[in-house]
Amino acid sequence: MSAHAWHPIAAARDLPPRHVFHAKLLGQELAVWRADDGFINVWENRCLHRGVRLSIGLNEGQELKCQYHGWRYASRTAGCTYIPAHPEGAPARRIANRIFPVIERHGLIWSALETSPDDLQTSLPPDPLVLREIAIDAPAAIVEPLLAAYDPPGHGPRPIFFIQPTDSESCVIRGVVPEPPPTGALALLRLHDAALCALRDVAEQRPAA
Amino acid sequence: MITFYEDALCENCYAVRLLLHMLAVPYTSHFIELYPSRANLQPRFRAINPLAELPVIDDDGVIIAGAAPILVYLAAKHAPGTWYATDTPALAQVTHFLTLAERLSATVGAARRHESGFAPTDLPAAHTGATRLLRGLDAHLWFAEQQGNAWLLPTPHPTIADLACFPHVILCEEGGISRQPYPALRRWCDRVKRLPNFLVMPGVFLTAPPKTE
Repeated sequence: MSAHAWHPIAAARDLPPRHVFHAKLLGQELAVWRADDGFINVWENRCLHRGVRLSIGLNEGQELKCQYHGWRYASRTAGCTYIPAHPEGAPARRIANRIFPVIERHGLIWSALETSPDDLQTSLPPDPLVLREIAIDAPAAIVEPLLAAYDPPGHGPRPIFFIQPTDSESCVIRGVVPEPPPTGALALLRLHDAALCALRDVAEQRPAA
Repeated sequence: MITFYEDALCENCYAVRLLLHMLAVPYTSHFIELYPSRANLQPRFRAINPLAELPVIDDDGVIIAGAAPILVYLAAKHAPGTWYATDTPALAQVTHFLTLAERLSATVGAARRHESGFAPTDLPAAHTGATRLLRGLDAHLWFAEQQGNAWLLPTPHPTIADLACFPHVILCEEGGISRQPYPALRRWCDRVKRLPNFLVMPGVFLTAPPKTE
């Protein structure tokens, strides 16, 4: 569970236009948003002004506006561009939110808490079938062996699973089916969903080791 | 003219207020403060609703109490084909979500009333029940999106099902229940907020307008 490793933090479709996604990785809260030009921003979920979560802010396409006092931050740099209480002056250059690295690949959004990890290495096809994420109130270490023993329902293809450690007490299972059958994707998604929800029940009843 | 007995901080009143505004139905407000004065327990209000609960509407002598019945009444009267369903499966689906909204009120809402209105409740039980319901609702909406549907019912127009559930979901964090594990619910909240004539209440914030091409 390295802070230097890439972890999935969202599905690509979790970031529709003008939405701010609320993610969490290794205890770090993240505000994730896609700008109108497609660029994905992964920022610390905290306004530099009063500490309000930016995930309740407004994705205005090129800037994120804090809900509380309207501070604006630019896509890509996370630099503060406007402070409504000081309409005359440009904000100081050093007022910039903390940003995290990001890769969009295999239908997932990946990030890492420490900068400059090596490139993300997976052997997945570019456009797999992405399962619904399953958030679990149990640590990744509890979920890992259960997933290793996962028996694909209906003898279908086995998904590739990634565990996103949200914090020390919870995690998210993100699964992708590399080569989904040409038809019946919805039924396949529902089958895996039901099986993974049953797995979650087991994980949440098991006392932490 | 409708008289609407409401409290500014009550989520069940908020559901009714949203529909009144979205239907652009004129009404006059009569505020009955639930907390701290508990004006709903006064004989004056009990004479209107013996259950002493909000919301209540009085539509020229027709008195309807409770969020779900009022939503049904208003939508069936003013917008039967859009906000209210008229065909058989959709009627059952609407009823499913109106019932679910009552269960959200008893869990998510109870936690919020506990934290903000000092209404005693079994908080761990409320949180456990809330998690179960919110997970189910989040999964439902995720699969709805997969099938190209934006709302709780597979209809192009939102229904009272959406308005009945929305207040509980959007105010859940006031009851100490994070929306972070429910991404499909959060996207649906954005969509509700972008409906014409949407109205905020304390604790509810606007989202950015949609991208225009």
